[in-house]
Amino acid sequence: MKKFIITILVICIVGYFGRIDKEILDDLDIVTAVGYDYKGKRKIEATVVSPIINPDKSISNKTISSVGKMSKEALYFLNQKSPNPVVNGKIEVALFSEKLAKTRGVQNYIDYVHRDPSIGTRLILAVVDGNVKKMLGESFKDFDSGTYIQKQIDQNTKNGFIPTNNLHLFLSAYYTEGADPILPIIELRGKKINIKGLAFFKGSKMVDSIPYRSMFAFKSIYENIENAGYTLKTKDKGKTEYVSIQGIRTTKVYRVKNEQTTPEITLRLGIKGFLREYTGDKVNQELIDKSEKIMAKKVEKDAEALIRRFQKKGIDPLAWGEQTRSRTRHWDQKKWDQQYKNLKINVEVDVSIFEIGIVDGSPF
Amino acid sequence: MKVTVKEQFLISPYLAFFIVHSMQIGVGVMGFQRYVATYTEQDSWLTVMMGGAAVHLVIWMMYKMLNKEQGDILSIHETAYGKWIGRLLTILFIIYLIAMGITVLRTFLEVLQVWMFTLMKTWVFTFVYLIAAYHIIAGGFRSVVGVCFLGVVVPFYLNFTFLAPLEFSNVRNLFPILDHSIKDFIVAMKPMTLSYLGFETLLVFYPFFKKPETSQKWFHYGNLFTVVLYFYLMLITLVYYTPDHLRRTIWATISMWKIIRFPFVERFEYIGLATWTIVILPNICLAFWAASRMAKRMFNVTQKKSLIFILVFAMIVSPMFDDRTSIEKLNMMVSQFGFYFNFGYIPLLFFFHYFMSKVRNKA
Repeated sequence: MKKFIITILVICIVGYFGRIDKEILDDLDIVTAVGYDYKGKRKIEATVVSPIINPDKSISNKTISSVGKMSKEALYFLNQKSPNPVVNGKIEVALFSEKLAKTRGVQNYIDYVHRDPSIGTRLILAVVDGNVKKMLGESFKDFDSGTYIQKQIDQNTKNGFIPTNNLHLFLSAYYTEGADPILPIIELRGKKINIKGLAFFKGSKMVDSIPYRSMFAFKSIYENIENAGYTLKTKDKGKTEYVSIQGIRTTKVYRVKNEQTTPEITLRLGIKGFLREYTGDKVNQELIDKSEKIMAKKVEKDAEALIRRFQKKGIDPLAWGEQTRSRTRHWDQKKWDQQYKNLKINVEVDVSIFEIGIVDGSPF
Repeated sequence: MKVTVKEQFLISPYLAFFIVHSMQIGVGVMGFQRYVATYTEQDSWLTVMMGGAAVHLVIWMMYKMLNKEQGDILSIHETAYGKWIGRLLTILFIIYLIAMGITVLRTFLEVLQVWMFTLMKTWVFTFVYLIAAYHIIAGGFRSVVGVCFLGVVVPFYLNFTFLAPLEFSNVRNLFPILDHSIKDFIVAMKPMTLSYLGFETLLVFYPFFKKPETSQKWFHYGNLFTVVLYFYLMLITLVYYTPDHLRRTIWATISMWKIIRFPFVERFEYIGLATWTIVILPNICLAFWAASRMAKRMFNVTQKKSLIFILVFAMIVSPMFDDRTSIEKLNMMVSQFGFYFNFGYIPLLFFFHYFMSKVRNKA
């Protein structure tokens, strides 16, 4: 009997005092994207998107925006404007307007998504050329805008030219002395998202950007490409012809000389791919040899131009500092910072086209 | 002075493996990396092994004393210092055990409050958890050991989840190898050995083994397993985080789960932390069991009474630590005491005991 009473008592106490707020999935605004716009010197505008599933199974967006001094303040106002509690657990993308990234830096907003335990580190970050609020408000048929942008960037990372990017990698590059973070730039063109280029950061501020056409060269020296396509221009009998190379995979070998005094870095880049399309009339060994040479030269030129550009700007998105640090005993960051601008960095490219598809010679 | 325990309460020696491992893995493993990496950065994996070796040495000393005494810490103390001083020092040890249990419970609850339920009241969870602990401890040492066994086996699958961060890791973070001075390693040894604490409860439950001497082998294996696990975690942490990133990450182990994404569960931390409730259960049960057992040996009270006293005390004290700073302070205090106890006091006691038992044998 005594035991019984105690059990009932315990259940009552715990049942009454142990309650926490219930969160029913249908009664929440589950945020899939968050975006920040520049609104005057001390103000920003935060926008969040949550999907609404309509009775006909199509998905539309629900966006809420609010203006505040800080990221947290703006998000707090969002809660005030929403009939349902706003939750962060499923945020897929965080977007920053280019103006905000250039003038104020993204540090406050990064701190917010980093500190909140409910936001995953797979979160994708991107810089938006144009108005973030407008982009997030756009409707993309089958998906809400947050999921849509995440899917497109993810797809372009796996099969395109966007370097692998998520919150964790951004933070690693941001905190490390020997590297600087990068983010993709996207824009709204017509009713579609367009990948525009890459943004480079010094600390939390965006200081430089490159257009889409330079992204292949960047990605190939930044990481190992697993699948991408590339189009070459060649001359055949005085006419300009195009060669399309697909399924490109790259491998990299770094060599650092004189790391204790004045380092000299050599990067050997191996590119492997297969020929998929040719506008001229004959695909033969001669063409393959020629294409390989042209491509190697082109990538080498582009890559070296990029490297010089970063050195001039004093940014290190390619993590040369990390490459040197990990090969140097008692690495000195101050000395490195001084040396970086005049560092000798060579790129050697070796291209091999190993398949030509299932047609030999010319189709005619 | 030999301590005898009734035959039906004894346990097999091989269970020492589970007891020591479950006791060492607790709340420390959630965030030990950054304290060690502050000093030795990319070489911290070596510190893990050095710390493990130091613990092996201390375990060996404990077994030497216990084998001679065939008793527990009270009988060692009484041989070394005589009845009164020996008892006084044992009381200190009891307080340490209680504090250890409270620290584990409160720290885990803090993690829950930060990661999952921000609004959860401290005392409610403590209350529920301590009822479970009472139920287990009241079942005697054998049921506590049963929980230790489950505490190792059930959460074992979590070890595989730490392979997920490798997708975004960089092996170059480990280089250059051995770029720190010996001094750095010695300084880093202290925070490292803190993560190995918990094995000192051996000084209480030693007489509960059948043929206690044979359990030493298993005890060492258990510790070795902990070393391997820490080594594995440290290696993954080091390639996943850059040192400056790690320095800012309070719970590096749990933060690694944030990269995991399953189609059916968005945030893996919720599953991981729920499983962790079983990981810390042996810590709390064994600490409070050991404290109540020593109280019984010294004060002539039944173990149940002293256990209830301890649990009520824990229930009152743990909600008093209500913010990050005070919990951090409690952790620091308990682990400092544990460090000096295991790596300062035990070696001293070892020599003193050796000497005194020679003297007493002659007399």
